[in-house]
Amino acid sequence: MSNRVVYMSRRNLIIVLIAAAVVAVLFSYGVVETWNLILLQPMLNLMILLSGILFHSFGLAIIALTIIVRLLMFPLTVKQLYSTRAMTSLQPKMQEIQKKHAKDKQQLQQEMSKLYKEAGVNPLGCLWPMLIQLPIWIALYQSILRAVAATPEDLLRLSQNLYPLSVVHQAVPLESGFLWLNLGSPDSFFILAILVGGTMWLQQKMMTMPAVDPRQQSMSRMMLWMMPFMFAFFTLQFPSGLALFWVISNIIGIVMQYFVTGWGGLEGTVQRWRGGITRAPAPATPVVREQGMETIEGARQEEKVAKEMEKQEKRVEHGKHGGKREERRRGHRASSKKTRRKS
Amino acid sequence: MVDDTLYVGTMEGKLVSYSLVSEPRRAAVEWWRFPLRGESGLFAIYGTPFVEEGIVYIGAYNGKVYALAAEHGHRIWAYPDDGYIGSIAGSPVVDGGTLYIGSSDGKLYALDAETGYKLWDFQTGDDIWGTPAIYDGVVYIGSFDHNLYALDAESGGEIWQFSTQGAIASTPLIYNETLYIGSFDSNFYALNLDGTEKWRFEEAGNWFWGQAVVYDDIIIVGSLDHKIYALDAESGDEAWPPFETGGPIRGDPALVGEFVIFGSDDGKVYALAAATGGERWRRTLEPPTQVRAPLFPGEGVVYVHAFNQTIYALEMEYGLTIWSVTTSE
Repeated sequence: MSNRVVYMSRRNLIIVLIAAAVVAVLFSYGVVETWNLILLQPMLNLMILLSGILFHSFGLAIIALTIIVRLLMFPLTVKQLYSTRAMTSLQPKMQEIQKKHAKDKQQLQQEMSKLYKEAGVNPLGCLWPMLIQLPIWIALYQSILRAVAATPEDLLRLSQNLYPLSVVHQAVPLESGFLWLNLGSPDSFFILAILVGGTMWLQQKMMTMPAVDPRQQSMSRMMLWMMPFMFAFFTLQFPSGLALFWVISNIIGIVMQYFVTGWGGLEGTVQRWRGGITRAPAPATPVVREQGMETIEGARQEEKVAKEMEKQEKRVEHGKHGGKREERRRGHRASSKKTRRKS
Repeated sequence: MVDDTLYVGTMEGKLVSYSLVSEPRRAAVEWWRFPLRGESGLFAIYGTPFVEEGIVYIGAYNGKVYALAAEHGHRIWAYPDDGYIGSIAGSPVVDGGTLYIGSSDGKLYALDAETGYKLWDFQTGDDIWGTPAIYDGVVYIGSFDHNLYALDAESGGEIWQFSTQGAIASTPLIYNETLYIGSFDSNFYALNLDGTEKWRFEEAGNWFWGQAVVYDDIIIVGSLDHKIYALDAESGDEAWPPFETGGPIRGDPALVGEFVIFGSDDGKVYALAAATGGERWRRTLEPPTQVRAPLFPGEGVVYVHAFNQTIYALEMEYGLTIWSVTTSE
C-alpha cells in the first residue's frame, strides 16, 4: 500500500474547516437555530449596538450597517462585476460559435469550453459571489424587520435574540422615528418608493450591457423596468426601515459599479447629459475586444494600459508645449544676440 | 371576569363576551362581540378589558379607546371620536370616574369614564405600553423612555419620576406602601411611594414584562429569561429558587388559593405552591400554542387566553381542561 500525501492550500483548508463547523452546528442546533446563531443574531445585535452608539437613531444604524456589510462584501461584489463584464464581452464570439455549430451539440460544447478556457473565464464565476452574498442579504433584511419590533409579539421575539449585553438591552426598543419616517411602518409620502425605484433603475441600467441577442435584449429591457417597479411597490407595503436599507444599498451599489466598471449602460446617457463634448457616445453594439480583455485580469490590465496611454498622451502634449517654449526661448536668445551684435 | 361573564379582547380585533352559564361553569356561551355593524376595520386588542358599572372599557391597537355597554356590546363612546391617538398596547384602568390609559404617542390620558371627554394628558419621552396603577390619588405609569412616573390623579401633574436603565412595559404592583416593578434592564425594583429605591433584584437574565403578584409577603414575577422568581417583599432576597420553564414568561401570573398559576411561551401552564415553589402540576395546551396574556382566576378554575385564539378553563386539581372555546369565528 502506498502512502499518498494530499496537500491542501491554506485557503482551501480554511474553507473546509468553516464548512465542517457550519455542518456540525447545523446538526446540533437545526437549520433555523443555526441560521439565527451564525447570521441573524450577530447582525441584529450589531445593528442595535450601532443604534446605541449613533445617538439612539435606528435610521443611522440601518445606514451604518448597510455600509459595513457592503464594504465587507466588496471583494465579492468586485469579482462578480468583473465576471459579468468578462462574460458579456465574450457574447459575440459565443454567438458566432452557436451559429457555427448549431447542429452539432457536442462540438458546440467543446468549442464553448475552449473559448472559456482561452479567455480564462468561468461561466459560474459571477454566480458564486452572488450565492455567497444572498444569505447575508436575507439575514440583514430579517434583522431590520426584527429590530423594528412594531408590535408586542415582535418585541417579545426580539428579546429572545439579544446578547446578554446591557448596552444592547438598554437600547431596545429602538427609536423608530427618522427624518419624516416611522421606520416601523410604510412611508405614506411615497418619497421612499420613488427613491427605491429610481436608484434601482440606475443600478440596473448601469449593469445592463448592450446584448447582441434580441431575446436577451428584450429580457434586459424588461428587467430594467420590472425590478424597480416591483421594489417600489414593496416599499409601499413594508416597514420603511427596510426601504431605507434598499435605497442606501442601491446607492452604494451604484458608486461601486461606477468605480469598478464605469457608467456601463448609462454611458450614453451621461455623455448626452454632459453635452457629448468630451468623448464620443458608447457604441450601440459591443466591440469585440482583444483576447486579454475578456478575462478579469485582462480587464484590469486594460484599465492599466488605458491609464498608461493617457499619461503618455499628457507627456507628449507636455513635450509639445515644452518644445514651443524651447523654440520661443531659442528665438529670444537669437534676437538678444542680434541686438547685442547691433549694439 | 365580572358576574359570571368573561370579556376577552382578541388579536383579530374583537371584544367577545362569554356567559359562563352553568355551575360549576362547565360551558361558555358567546353573548356578543364587538366590532358591531358600522365599525370599520379590524385591529388587535392587546389589553385586558376593564368592566365597571355595566360598561366595558378597552383600548385598541388602532389608537382608539372604546366604552361599550356590558349587556349588549353597543358602543357608548369612543376616544377620540374622530381620528386616532397612538396605538394602545396596555389596558385601561378606571378609578373614581376617571379612565386612565397609556398610548404609543407617549401620553397617559385621563378621560371621563362616563362621556369619554379628555380631562388631561401627560407626555412622557417615549411609547407607553404598560397599564397604569392607581393608589391613594396617585397614578403610576412606566414608559419606554426608561422612567416610572408618579402623577397626581386629579390634575396629571408630575410628583416624581424614577429612572431605570431600560424601557418599562410592565404594570406596577403596590403592596404595603411599596411599589414593585420590573424593567427591560432585567432588574426588578422595589420603591418607596416617595420614589426612592428600597431594593433591586439584578439576577434575571432578560426583561421583566408581566406584572407581579403577592402571596404572604412573597413577590412572584415572571421574566423573559424563562424563569419565575419569588422575592421577599421586604428585603428582595429569593424566597424560593427560580422555577425554570421552556419559554419566556410574558403574562401576569394568577393566584388561586395557595397556588400561583402562570403560562409560558413553551405552551404550558404551570401551578406552583406559592409559599415554597413546589410544582403541583404542568399542563401542555392542545393544540400546541403559546401563553402570553395574563391568566384569570375563578373559583377553583383558571382561565387561559392562549395565542391560538382559544380560551381554556383549567380546573385547579390537576390542570385538566374543563372547556375550551375559540374566539375566532
